[in-house]
Amino acid sequence: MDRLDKISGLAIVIIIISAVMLISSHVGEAVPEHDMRQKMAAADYSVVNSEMESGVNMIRNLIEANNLEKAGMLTQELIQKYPYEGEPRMMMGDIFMRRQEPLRAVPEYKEAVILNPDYLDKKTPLFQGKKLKVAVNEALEKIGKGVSENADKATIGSYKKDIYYLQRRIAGSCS
Amino acid sequence: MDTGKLKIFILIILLLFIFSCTKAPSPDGGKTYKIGYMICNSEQETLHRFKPFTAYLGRELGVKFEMSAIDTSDFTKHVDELDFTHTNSLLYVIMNRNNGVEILAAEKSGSLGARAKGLIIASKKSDIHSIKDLKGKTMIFGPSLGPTSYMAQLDILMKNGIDPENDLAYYSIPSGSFKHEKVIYGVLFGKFDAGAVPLLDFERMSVDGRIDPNDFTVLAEGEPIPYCNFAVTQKVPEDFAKRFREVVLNVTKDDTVELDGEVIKVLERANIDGYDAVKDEDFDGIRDMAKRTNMPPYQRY
Amino acid sequence: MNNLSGAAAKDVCKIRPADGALGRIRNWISSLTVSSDTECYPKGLFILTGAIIGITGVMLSYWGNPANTGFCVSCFMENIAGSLGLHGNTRMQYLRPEILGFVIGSFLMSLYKKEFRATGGSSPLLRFFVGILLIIGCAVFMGCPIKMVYKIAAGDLTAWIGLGGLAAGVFIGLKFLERGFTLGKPFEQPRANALLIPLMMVLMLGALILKPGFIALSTKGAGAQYAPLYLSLLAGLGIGALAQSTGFCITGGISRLFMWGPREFTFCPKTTGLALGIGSFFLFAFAASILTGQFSLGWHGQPSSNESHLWNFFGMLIVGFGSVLIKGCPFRQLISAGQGDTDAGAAVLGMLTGAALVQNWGLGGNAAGTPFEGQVAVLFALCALFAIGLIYRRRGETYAPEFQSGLD
Repeated sequence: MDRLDKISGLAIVIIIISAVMLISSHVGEAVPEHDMRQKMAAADYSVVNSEMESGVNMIRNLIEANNLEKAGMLTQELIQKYPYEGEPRMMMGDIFMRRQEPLRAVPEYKEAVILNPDYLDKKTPLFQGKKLKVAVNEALEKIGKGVSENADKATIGSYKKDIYYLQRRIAGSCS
Repeated sequence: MDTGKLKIFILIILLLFIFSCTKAPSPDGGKTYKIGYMICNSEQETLHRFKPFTAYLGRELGVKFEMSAIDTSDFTKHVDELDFTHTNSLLYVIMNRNNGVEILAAEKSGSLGARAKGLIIASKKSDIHSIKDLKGKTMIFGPSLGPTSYMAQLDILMKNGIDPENDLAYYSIPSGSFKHEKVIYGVLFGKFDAGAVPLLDFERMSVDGRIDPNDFTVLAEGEPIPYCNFAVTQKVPEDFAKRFREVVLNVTKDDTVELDGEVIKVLERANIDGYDAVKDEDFDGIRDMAKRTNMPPYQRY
Repeated sequence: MNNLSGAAAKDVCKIRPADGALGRIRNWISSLTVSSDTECYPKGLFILTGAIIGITGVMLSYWGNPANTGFCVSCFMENIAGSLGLHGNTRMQYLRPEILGFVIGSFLMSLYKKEFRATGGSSPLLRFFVGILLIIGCAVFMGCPIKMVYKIAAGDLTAWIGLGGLAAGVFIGLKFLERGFTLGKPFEQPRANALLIPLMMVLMLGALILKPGFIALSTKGAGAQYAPLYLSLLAGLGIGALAQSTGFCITGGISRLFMWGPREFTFCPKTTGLALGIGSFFLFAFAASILTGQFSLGWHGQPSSNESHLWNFFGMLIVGFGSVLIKGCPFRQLISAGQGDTDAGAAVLGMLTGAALVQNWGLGGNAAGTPFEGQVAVLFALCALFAIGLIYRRRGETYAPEFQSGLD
């Protein structure tokens, strides 16, 4: 057994221990990636839901009429009713943008694009990439200016995480 | 293989690649694109002005265009059904933020070219000589989403410490079509002490001889800002938007289109001088103004 | 080694023209750089190969391929696997003509140069398995070594972590090669064996053109983002042919830099050429990215990136390590398969299988980070590579790595 054998053996042991630790730390835990893939699959095979559609149209009209409070309440109801649909999340993001709260809009937009990647796919009629880019830029500007008033470090970190996620999604990917 | 043959092979590959460096064929052939024109004075006037321009665009780009005239206050409700928009600069700023619309070209018209500015005017006969004199007076504004007929003037008033809600006797916005003209006439005939008008309309009415500029005192002028413009919605392919922009920027006063047997000069009919390249950053002044005046898209409730 | 005079260099390096002003300049350069006949190969061809890979890759992204993905063997393998029905992600289905072009271009060039040789039998099943691991590593990093260079050239600072991982993997692999790692000597095979992979690619090209019902093609997602077919195919064919002529390989180039620096080595020529090729690839891709407006320097918000830097490092480490063990990066495997290496063909099939597994099991990295399954897969792959390294060593025997790795 030479030096390389010893080092390799040690590496294998370390990797196995790491793998065991990694797996055991996830045992019994909901796997977000699974959830995400299920959501994406649901978006791929979603059927037109007339009830949701009429709800969406009503909320859109409320947003245009600047009745943001009512629009927000109805959107929350839609989110609870249709947790695998991206449109209510997208509208919630729009409502936050109209309330001049881009930092709160970004997590909603993030959830919307996870639920339905078509929002960032220029080949589909649902494409919203440029609007989301404006939201991301405003959110970054707000973080840059330190305008996140009473937000603590963890909250800012979470905002940043969502902003960078959305930025990467907007930038595109091969997968 | 000797190097000679290898070089020939590489040369062929390179030549093939270079000759194939043409743009990918556009998949837009059969599609009908929709252009929404913001109604300036009236629906008929807007359609009359821009019908030849739209036909010209269709001919130059080899696609069909469908045009519609949309009221300023309804435009944002319809933007997602459109491919291209022709609106004022404030509507562009709103749609850029809320709908991801991107700027293509700014219209050139009047003495400031691709820029415009708002004026606050009063009748020469009145005792109003400065902005400060407006306190307690009546005033008439243009449409509330007009950057040079409402927002710029509101900004000027606020900068001068005048809150229209509290410091004016009252103010109003005319209804119906040709609002800017109504504002000017409202001031001229003494119905209101002062009015908010775009420089462009003031100049046009002066040139037409419908008003005499000497009858008015210009109390204040806003900053020059981009005005009407073409923009593209986010669903249009970028290469097509680029081609659209090129055609719009290259249109000249001599360009004509045949419509219903009549040969029409497209710019002359549209009552504009042409289009200038403009960037989104050029609208930052309008964004700042909208924030100061609590206007959409930065309105706080 | 003595420096040769211009005249002597002319005798040794018959590839260089002797006549004309250009010939005289080249002879003069030869007298400075050539010190033995192993250095007599057209280095300009390596620079040209790098330049073409760099420019065409960036241009293909500009013309429709996903961002920073002019060429990416792993992403494109996932697309091909989807198109063949090996996975069900409807956004990842396209028979990428670039990949087909690499193999067919290499095949045609090797035929033309009479270098098409059916060889194999050097642990093909193991190579198949390592092929799977290579794609897992690439998928975790979200790109193969070629794409890594595009990412770096486009200003993605996170891709440097991948380069670190790749270099570390190559270094570890080389240590095994130096200490007796071998997968066995390949031997002559029936010609039909070697024709299988090129034929498969030709059939897939036919399917791409004719679009029969059993081929799935994405209408949205990354699979629906592609440059015009003829441009992608032409680029693939040209690069496949050039890579066959030069032996262009990212991990091969890094291996040689570790062993000898950019200097030529008597028994392992093309070291300088590969270094020049990789350098040229990067510089031309960098220039093209800037000129086409695709350059964006930054740590955040880059295409095909995430913040799982440790896993990205390990992902590329797997690619570097595995590539050295099986004689070349994923791109090189395609080129070798095209010129008749059935062992590389087995690796290519492994890569295709790996691509399907990555999609079916959700192993690949995404904008949110490296998924749990991907992390486990990385640890498994690392463990497997170390185990392979241990099992396939002939202890007590020290081999010159160039003979073991086939770098010559």
